[in-house]
Parts: sequence; structure tokens; C-alpha cells
Amino acid sequence: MRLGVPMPRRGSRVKRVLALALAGVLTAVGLVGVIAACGGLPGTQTTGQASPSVSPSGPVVLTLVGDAGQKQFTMNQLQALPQYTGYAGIKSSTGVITLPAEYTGVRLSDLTDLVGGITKANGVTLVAKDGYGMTFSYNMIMDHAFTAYDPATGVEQTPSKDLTVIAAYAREGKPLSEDEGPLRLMVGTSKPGGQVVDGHWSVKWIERISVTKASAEWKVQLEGVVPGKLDKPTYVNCASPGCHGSGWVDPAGKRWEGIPLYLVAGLIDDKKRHGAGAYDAAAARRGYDIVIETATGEVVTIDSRDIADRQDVVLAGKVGGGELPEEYFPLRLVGPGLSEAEMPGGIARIVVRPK
Amino acid sequence: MAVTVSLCLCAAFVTGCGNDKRQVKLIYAGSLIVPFERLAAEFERTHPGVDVLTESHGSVQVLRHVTELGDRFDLAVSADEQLIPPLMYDRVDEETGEPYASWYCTFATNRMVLAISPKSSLVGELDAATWFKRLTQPDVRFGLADPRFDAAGYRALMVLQLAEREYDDPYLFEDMVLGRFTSPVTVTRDAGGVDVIEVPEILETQPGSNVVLRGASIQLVALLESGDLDCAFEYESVARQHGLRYVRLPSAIDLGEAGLRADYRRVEVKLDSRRFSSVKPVFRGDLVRYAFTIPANAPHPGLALEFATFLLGDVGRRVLEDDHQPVLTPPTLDDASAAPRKVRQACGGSG
Repeated sequence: MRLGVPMPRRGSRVKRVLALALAGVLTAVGLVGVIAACGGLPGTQTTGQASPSVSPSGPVVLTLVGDAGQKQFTMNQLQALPQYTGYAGIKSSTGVITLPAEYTGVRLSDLTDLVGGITKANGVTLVAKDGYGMTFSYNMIMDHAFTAYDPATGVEQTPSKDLTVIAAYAREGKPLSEDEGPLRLMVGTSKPGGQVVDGHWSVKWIERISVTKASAEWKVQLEGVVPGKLDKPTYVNCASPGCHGSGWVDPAGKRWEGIPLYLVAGLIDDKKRHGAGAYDAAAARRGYDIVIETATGEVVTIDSRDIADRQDVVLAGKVGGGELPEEYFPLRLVGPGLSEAEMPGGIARIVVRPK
Repeated sequence: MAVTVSLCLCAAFVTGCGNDKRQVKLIYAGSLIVPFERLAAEFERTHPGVDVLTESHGSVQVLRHVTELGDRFDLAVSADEQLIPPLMYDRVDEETGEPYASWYCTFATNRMVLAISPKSSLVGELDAATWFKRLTQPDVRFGLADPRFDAAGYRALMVLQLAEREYDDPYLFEDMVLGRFTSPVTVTRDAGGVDVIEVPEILETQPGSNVVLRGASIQLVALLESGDLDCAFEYESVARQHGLRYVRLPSAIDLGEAGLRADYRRVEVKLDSRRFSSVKPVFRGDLVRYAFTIPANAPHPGLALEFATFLLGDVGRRVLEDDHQPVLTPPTLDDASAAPRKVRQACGGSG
């Protein structure tokens, strides 16, 4: 930020005095603005709102992407956002401590709020100009979920609730050098001498921050002769091409991929869960009901005789090579001969019961 | 007076008004800290006037310091030889227009073990016959290096998956890992019969989980020593350097037996996060092999070569072995024609 006006090299003494006075006034006004913008004392936070009228002059230094869209910021615009000044340092993977220094920036939570916010279903990915990327969880950003260390000893400590994640643009009151800036991710505390965190989180040269979807765990309850559950890792394992993966191409030409329903029934139709003979074919031919319940309370009942040994009636977790649409997450029953009503999505529970 | 001034000037010329010591800069994988500190000291002792400057990180970060971060080192050492070609051969130094490296020398080996805390109640209980069942039980706190940051982390996952085949228990990996993380680690078997372990972008443990994750395997040592962990997957050399008892795992899963390389290749770890633009985050199971190269932009190439031949020579090999770091005999080169003559000779090749 440039303060004051250029001093006249020539001219009358009067003009020089007037120029000095004007420079003094402008400097005072500028200093007040700087102090306000920097939040005064360290460890404090201003609560100013980003002004839509802040001059966008200068290059874009940050692209922010979230559910609510995309925003780009120049340094001026970033510095107009609510600021946080704290003390941040790092510990390398081999134990070398870089002691905390004063950093000023914008809290990551404030930035993500500008593009729709984050929930536990999200992660936040930072990408640097050299392509380096790092994803942070909701718990890290909102709940200080880091491994933290005493900077004096390097000994691990319970993470402080004061740990705050910021996109920093200033160190000790000065813009970040080219070695780390213009923006760097730092995790700090409001007081000097606070904890440090692992260095791999301190992404330098940040260019882009994106709110992403975190890979979610899910579980489908199974009940039959024995209880069981079908969770994501088990499902993914079984549905792989080298295991029991199968599929069906619907009349629209979309391929649904998953595990044959009869094999899932085989997990709970007797005490043998897996391996040769796990699926009780004789019991299936005699007939039992496979009751499929969805998270919204829909119930569909399938006769075991109709799907016995059929590879094309599947509990699908993928369609068209990609994730299922949200309405069908995590699994949908599909297959030839089934009506739309008989192909429920959002499956929550599967019960095998005698007729 | 003139004589005094002359004498002072002569003294200054001889001793150097500033620091006239030559330097050689090393950057290496964290699991080599103990032997390489001794190697540095020994090299300085036998090379008066030379300062050995050292820095260590996880192997991917080691190589990234030379390439993407633009730091200049004389020797770069990785705990995984597989990392050097994609990170250094395929990347071009903008200043020279040349790749950062064109050869590497594999000089040391290792194997994965299960290190046990001296303060754990399981000291007498964990052994080769029981460890894999005990680790499925929630009362056993075991440590893993984060596979996103440390080769020891993805190697530990490979060990756990290979254990399924070894112990003929198709649920073993699940039972040890399932439910321990907020985003699940999954395994699929591809059409070629390779078990692909997929690590999510966000890898954090569930509250109360018995699995403890740390960015580097070396950080697990402190937790073992304090008793905050019962056990942890470590390199054998690191366990021995720190005087830790350990379970020697079957050769079929410990990534340390040369004759079983094909078996190790039946597992792969794929990271959902792309941490480095230059690294495809897919790691195939293989022998643990340490390798070094002299970057093309090494600031002191002459000294770099001296250190490399020192490392491969009798003294270097003795230091490594004294610190329980197994050496590869003979060391090997991936491309002898690209390597300096002295390194070729040290590997037993022609000059």
C-alpha cells in the first residue's frame, strides 16, 4: 500500500511545506487504516466485512470453489476480509522444529463460508502453484484435530482448542516472501509460544482452495439366519472384478455395477459367511423372502427363487463407471425383469426370512 | 609493527577470514537418520576441511526438495527406489533444460517388522503366531505411518493385505482396519489378481480408534518408547537402532525377501489424494530398496562423487551395517551407462 504523495523535487518552499502537510495527513489516515486492518494487537481478530467496493486491482492470488460457486480474490480483497493474527510454526517429519512466528491471514473457515460453508461430509483441498495438493478434513478446520507439539521440546501434546487454520499472507507484518507466498497455510495459536503442527500441512504458494466431498462410510444392515452388515470396504472388496463384481446394462444403455443379490443373501442364509458353499442354493430353490428396506421406509420383497444364481440382478454401487446419484446412495437394486418400483435405492437393510 | 601486520595477514590467509570449508549437502529418507549422521561424521573426520550438511524427510519430500522446491543438494537418498524415476527423470530443471537425474544406485535394503513397546503388557504375548489376530482386537493400540506422507505407511498397508493370503484369512485386512477411519480404506481385487488398497483423501482415525496414525514412521518410535502405543509397523533397522523388541513377520509379507518379489507385487496402494503433481499416487508392492542419486544440478559434484564412493566403500558399508542397515551386495545401478565412472566401479562395474 502506497502512503502519502511524492515529494516535489523543486518548487517553492511554500509548496514544499504544503506537500509535507498533505503527506502527513494522508500518512496518518493510512496508518489508522493499516492498524485497523491488522486487527491491532497480535492474537486478535477484526470483524470487518469484505466490502464489495474494495478495489480488485492487482492479480488474482486465490481461487475459492465451493457448493455456492467460485470466487476469485486479489490480495487487496483478501486483506479486506476478517483477519486473524496468530503464531504458527512447524515440526518436520524428522523432528526439526521451526519456532512459531507471527502470521496474519484469513481463517480457512471464513473463506469456505464465502462459498457455501463446510460440513462433516466435506474436505477442503488446497492446491499450490507447483501442483502440490493437500486435503484438510472438517475436524481439522473446525475442531483443531491435528497432532500438535510443544515447540520447546518437540514432545506431542493434546491439541490446543486455540489451534486455528489460516491462509496467511503476512509474516511479522510483512507480505510473505517468494519462498512461501503470497499465500501459505499455517496452523497457529493466538498466543506466542503455542503449539506447532506437522510441516506437511503448511502448504506454500496456495493458489486454489476447493470444498470437496469426503469419502463417506456407509453400512447396510443384514439380518437372516445370522446377522451381518455390508459396509463400504466389504462391498468394494466383493464388487471388484477379481472377486464377485457383476453388472447389468439397463434399456437406456447404462451399466450398473455391483454384487449379485443372491451372493449378499448368501452372507446371512446360514452360518457360512464366505467361500465355497456360503450361498445355500438348496434353501434358495425351496424359497425364502429377501426383504429390502430403504432409508425412507420403502419395502420391496424379492423371492429367492427369482434371483437364484443370477449375476445380472445386482446391488449396484456404481452406474456408468461413476458414483451413484445421491437419490440411490449407497446401493440400488437393479436387474432385468424388475419394475421401477422393484428397484429401490438408498438401501438401508436387507432381511432374509422364511416364507 | 610491519612484521606483526604481515604475520596477522598470513594467519588470516591460512585460516580464512571467513568460512573457507568445502561443503557437501545430503538429503535423505528419515529412516536413515542414525547411520547417515555417523556417515557424515566419519566423512568429515577423513576429509578435513569438508562440512557435511544434512537434511532428512519422508522419501517423496526428499526428492521434491530437489525438483519442485528447487533446493540444491549433492546427494538425494530415497527409501524407495521406485520414486526416483518419476520424480527426477521425468522432471526437467528449468535452468538447464535437463532432467534432474538419469541414474540411481540401489545400495541398501530393509524389511518391515512389528515393533513392540517395552512398556506394553503385550511384550510377551505378541509373536509371529499371534500378532495378526491380536491386532484385530480393540485393546491393542498399533501405529501406522500415514501412507500419504511416508513410504513406511503404504508399505505397512501392503503387509496387512499380504497377510490375508499368508494366513488364509480373507477378512484380516478389514478386521484390522475397518471402522478405524472416518473415511474408509477399501480393497479391490483387479482383473489381474492384484489387491488394490485405496486410501481416501482424508485419512483420520475415528475417536477412540485403536489405530494411531503419524506423519512419519520415525514419529511412532517416541510413542512406542513412551508406552502410548503397544506396537507399530517399522523398518527392522529402525527398531534395532532404537533397541525395540519386534515381531519378525513372515518373509511372504515383510517386503524383504528377494525371491518373493513377484508375491509382493500382488498388492498395490493407491492414494486418492494427488499430493504432488509429478507423482502418480500408485505404489506397487516390492522389495524395500534404498537408492541414491547425484542430482544433475548438484552444487558440489566432485565432493558428491567422493561421498557416494565413500558410502559404497568398505567404511560406508561398515557404518551402515553397524547401525543395522542391511546393505545390498553388490550395489546396483538402474542405468550404468548414465552413472559416473567411479560409481560404476564402486558397484563392481567397469570404469
